[in-house]
Amino acid sequence: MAIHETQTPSSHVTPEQLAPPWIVDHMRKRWIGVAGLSSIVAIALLLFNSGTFEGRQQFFRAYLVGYLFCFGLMLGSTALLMLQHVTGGKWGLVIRRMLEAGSRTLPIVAFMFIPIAFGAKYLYPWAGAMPLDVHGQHALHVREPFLNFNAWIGRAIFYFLSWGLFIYLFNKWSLKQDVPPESPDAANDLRLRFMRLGGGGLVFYAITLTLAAVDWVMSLDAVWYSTIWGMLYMGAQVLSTMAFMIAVLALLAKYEPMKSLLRKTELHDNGKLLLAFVMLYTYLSFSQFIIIWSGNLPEEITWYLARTQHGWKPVMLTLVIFHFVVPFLILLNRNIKKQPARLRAVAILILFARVGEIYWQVNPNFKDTSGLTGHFNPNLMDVVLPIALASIWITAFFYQLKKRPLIPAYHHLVPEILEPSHGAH
Amino acid sequence: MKPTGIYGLMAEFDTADELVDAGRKAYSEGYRKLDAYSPFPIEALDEAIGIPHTILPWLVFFGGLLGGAAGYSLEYWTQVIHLPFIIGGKPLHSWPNFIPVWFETTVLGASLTAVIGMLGLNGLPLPYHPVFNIDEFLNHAQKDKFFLVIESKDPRFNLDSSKKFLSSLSPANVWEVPN
Repeated sequence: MAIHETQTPSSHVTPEQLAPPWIVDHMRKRWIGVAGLSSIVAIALLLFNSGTFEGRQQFFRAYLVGYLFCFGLMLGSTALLMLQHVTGGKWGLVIRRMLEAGSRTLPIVAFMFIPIAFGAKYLYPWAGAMPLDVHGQHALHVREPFLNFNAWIGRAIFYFLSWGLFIYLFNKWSLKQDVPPESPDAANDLRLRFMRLGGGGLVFYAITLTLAAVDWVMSLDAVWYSTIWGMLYMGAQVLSTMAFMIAVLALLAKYEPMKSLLRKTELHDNGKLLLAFVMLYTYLSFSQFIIIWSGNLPEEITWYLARTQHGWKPVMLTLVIFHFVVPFLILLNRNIKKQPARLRAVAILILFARVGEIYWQVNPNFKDTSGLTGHFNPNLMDVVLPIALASIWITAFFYQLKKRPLIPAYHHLVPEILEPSHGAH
Repeated sequence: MKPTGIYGLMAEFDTADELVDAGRKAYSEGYRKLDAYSPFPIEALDEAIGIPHTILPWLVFFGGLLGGAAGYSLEYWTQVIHLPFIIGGKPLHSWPNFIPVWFETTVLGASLTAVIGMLGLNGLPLPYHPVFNIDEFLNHAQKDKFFLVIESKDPRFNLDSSKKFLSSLSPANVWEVPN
């Protein structure tokens, strides 16, 4: 580090030079087309099937899958944003404005939650519209003070308002780094404020996301519980967010200003983080499995039984291969982590695997029309609706990304990323 | 045995960029037995002086596989052959239970291979090296100066013409390094 301090900073860049390229707007327009088309198909399917309880339920099942994916990207962006404020580092600087754009989609994501609130009785056994066995009735009776509609919706409102407060502050303060700091002290104060809010925010994130993951996903099952569930969702969110940000970063790397700003070093660092998150998620997911599988208790093991029978086993094995084995083996290679196009391909594979995993987590909870545990029985709605929600989210993301320069020009690390990669590293 | 002859020629530079440029020029001039010294890692330097890719990652990969195979075999032998014991009503060969130990021995195999392989390939620890004969090197190589060495083993090495070549790169100093 001493080397950097003795070197004179390179020539500065202005926010104008860091403006987002035309491709950002182009992507927004392209994705809004996908969003419109898939939304129309999804709504048509809903109208066509709305005659039966199962038909309407099918809509909400698919909606929840798509929603959890978008929600994960939004809150995962916030989590990574806070993490990079706490740890510092140039890897975070190059994706920071993208993370902020992701976090600013909170209003859309909160708005998208409204259908789930209206459809709660189609999704959640505690909402009272589904037949339950004795165990389910007992479990829900005991959990009634926590799992009832008013408490559930109240918590959801609290989550969105409090996350919104953090996101508002981070984005507001971030604008101050687009203009020259009044003094070195002011710049340091700002860094410190970011760091403190980020540290506290991460603790708050861990607690609230654990509760939200219980509220929105775990409570799909009347009886089952897992104490690692919240961590699993944190791991999943940062993994899918990192994958999404790398996909966008690799795209932007083809155009100015990122073309000349993004060095192999930072891309490599982000690739390494992606590998680390793949391993972290696998570790958490396997931990849950091995504990439940070893214990073999009736109230826990049923969750895995439902997900390894009735056609779900091939789905699970496919997920193990494409969520872990393939990305892991590819990302071990150092050269691939330095090549934007290849890294982007792996990142997109991980995003698809994420949607697949959410599908695998959510859907076996629902009984078939035969009343048995859910069979693997995908239909068009399961494909179209997640595409519709994801493309709405991506449109919102690019809309937000366009609003600000791609890098805060007066961040203290900017002179360092302006140095050519072969110099002092 | 008293060492004879010279080890090579050393050029001293003030900045990392100059060192990388000089390395690149020396490589394109045809020199292959090159080495560069800097107080901190410089990413582009390996490529500039044509250092071949290390095979260490592959050694580590196969070390990991070997460690994993050994760990799994140990589990299989103890749990299934030597002391078959039914735990929790599960089959003797309950492979999900084997994964944590298999994983740990994979990491053990990979990390031991990484450390031992690294030492084996780079020849450390090395108590003596000819470049230590240069006082300027001893005093500055770990602090603030950058050095490029052309070894006399290089087929293109010629004391006079190589010295002239190094001087043309505008170094701060050029030395003959005794063996």
